[in-house]
Amino acid sequence: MSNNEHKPNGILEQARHRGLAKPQAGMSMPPQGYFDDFAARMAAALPYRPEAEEKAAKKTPRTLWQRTRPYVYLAAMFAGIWLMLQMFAMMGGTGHQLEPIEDNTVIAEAVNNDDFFFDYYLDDISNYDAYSYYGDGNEQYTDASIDDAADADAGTIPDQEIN
Amino acid sequence: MTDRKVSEDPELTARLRSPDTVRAAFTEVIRKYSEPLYWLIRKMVRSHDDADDVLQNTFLKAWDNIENFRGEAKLSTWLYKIAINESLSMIDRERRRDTVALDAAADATADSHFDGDDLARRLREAVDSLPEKQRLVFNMKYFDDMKYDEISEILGTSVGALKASYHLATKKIEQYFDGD
Repeated sequence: MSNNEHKPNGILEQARHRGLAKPQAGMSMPPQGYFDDFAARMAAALPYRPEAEEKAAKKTPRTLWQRTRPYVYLAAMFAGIWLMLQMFAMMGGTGHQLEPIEDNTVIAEAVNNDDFFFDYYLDDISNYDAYSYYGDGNEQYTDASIDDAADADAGTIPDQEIN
Repeated sequence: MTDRKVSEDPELTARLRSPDTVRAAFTEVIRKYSEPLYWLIRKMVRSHDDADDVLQNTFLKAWDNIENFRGEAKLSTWLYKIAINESLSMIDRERRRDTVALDAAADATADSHFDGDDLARRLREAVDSLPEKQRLVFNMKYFDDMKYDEISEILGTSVGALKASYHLATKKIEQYFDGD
């Protein structure tokens, strides 16, 4: 070869021109039929792979509860927060107040009923409390009447009858 | 088939994604790509036996990850990337065992299958004298006729760096022939 042929681009261009710019240029060839044999060998050697070769298991449909559960929990959480806010407002005196007991007609009627008063109320208070009560202008109930009522409850004879 | 260029087949890519057809499609992939991949590997590891091992590992690795192939990259690019990684791993293993693969020239002359073209043999010797990265780039560009964009995607190197690498490689080949 001449010097000119050995120039780099000349060499590479010459090699390309001669069809040597191909993958197998300058290398020994593999055995005859290697690629056909390799493909068959390789295909037979591929292991079974369920991840790739099996369809993903069909999903079971979700139940109504499973579908609505997040929304139910969310609603319960909001309801809880609302109740808590109501309670704080009530305790702070800024929100809805409980009805004053004097305005409650059922309780007012019961308190004005003497039978109820003697049967359910005076039984549970001490004489001291009762006297305090009478001292506050409730003189219609005298000591004697209270004692008589107490005796009647206890099944004993009133003092005046003994006297 | 000696041409590296294998046309991309969208229908084949689609079949690779279906569990019913994946095995048959992959068998077709092996038939289509075994030869271009073999030569790519062979140019790196040099001996036929090593190339055969690396080619098998390449397809096994591709098969192991076939469900991860979504078709966003070209199938050939994906396979080339695996093949190059497997080749580099093999070369590293060989180096660690201090049993470097046969010298290309010795291999070529000792192999009865070699076609005996003197220019081809000397060009191969010149290419084999290049550093690994330059050799890889030169092989892919000159012998495999790949575009810089594709090489860039496979090697993860910028096109500019690849061009510089190729230019350096051609200079060294020039010097190799000038030294004769």
